[in-house]
Amino acid sequence: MHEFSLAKAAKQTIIDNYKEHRKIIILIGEIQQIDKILFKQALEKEIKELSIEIEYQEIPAKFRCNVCQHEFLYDDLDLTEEEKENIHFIPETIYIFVKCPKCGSNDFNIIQGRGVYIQLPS
Amino acid sequence: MNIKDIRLSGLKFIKEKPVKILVVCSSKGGVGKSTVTFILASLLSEKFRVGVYDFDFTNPSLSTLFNSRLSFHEDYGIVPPEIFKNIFFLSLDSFLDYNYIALRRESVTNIILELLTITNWPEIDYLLIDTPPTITDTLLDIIKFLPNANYIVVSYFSLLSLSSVQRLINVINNSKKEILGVIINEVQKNQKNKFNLRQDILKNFNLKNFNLKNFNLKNFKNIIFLPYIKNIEKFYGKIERIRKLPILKDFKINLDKYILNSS
Repeated sequence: MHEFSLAKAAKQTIIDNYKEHRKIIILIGEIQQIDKILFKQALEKEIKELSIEIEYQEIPAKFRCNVCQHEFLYDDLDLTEEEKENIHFIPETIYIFVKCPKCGSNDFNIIQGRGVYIQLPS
Repeated sequence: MNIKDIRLSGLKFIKEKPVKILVVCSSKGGVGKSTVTFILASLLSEKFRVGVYDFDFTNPSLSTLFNSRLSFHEDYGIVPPEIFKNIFFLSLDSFLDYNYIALRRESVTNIILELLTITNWPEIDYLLIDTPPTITDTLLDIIKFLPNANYIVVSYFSLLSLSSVQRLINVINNSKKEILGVIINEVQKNQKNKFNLRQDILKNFNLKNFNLKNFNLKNFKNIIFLPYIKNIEKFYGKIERIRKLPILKDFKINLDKYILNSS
């Protein structure tokens, strides 16, 4: 499963940067459409010996059209299950399937909600 | 501490894989990078297990050359399909079909990082990476993210192409990366001997009065001539036929000498 390779990369990030910390926050972009239960189980199994508390936060996806500057959300998109599945693997395939709802351009930016990141609590 | 992208640590797995990475590149468009990648994959897979990435995301051609749009499957990441014996191939074309994708540069970097992190390659000896033309994000990202990659530069036997490619060679050399060979593609029989000296280039291209003072070939090491293959479209998807082409005899010898036997 794709979630296992992301969990492996997250584990490596924790080992490289956060193994001395007691709590971290994992930020999961909405576009990624990760199976969070599976990801959580896979990661927690990988790092059980580190005893780090993990908080998971989903970051809602937001887009801005480069042509007309219109901003739109993941919920505004009308994606098929197959398209969602493709975006789940490679989020940038969103540029194949999605157009700006206002002007129809494929030239938009993902402002937030892409990828998986780790940060410390503030 | 700043936010960390998990993919940057995830790169460790591809970096640690005991695989020789060969990046097929050219600053000039239309010189046959994808064709060279296809031929290299065909020849290398006779003896080795070869992974192939098409990193020309907006204009992927390798699926046409391999005549395959097979998609990956999931198993601890995405597993590229074995499209021919010993050739494992991954391209965005399996998503695109004949649709298009237009990308700004940050997206190119994101796709490269994503693919390098989540691709679960089967055991492979070589990883070929086909790249888009020009000296921009894809090439710079490969230099940055894959420090152990080796480079194969492709050019035509034309002044325009050779003078473009000498810039690319300088970029790679300045990055302290290794160029295993410069493949001069679609060479006609009578051109081979005319390559060596600048004067010969001038003569060959009938440019006696052309100012070429900054043009030199001293960085063109390990030059490999790839002969012109007539009606090459007939060989698309025909790995066995490519391997048996008598015209590739010298190319195979040079491939062994420069690419396979390099450390």
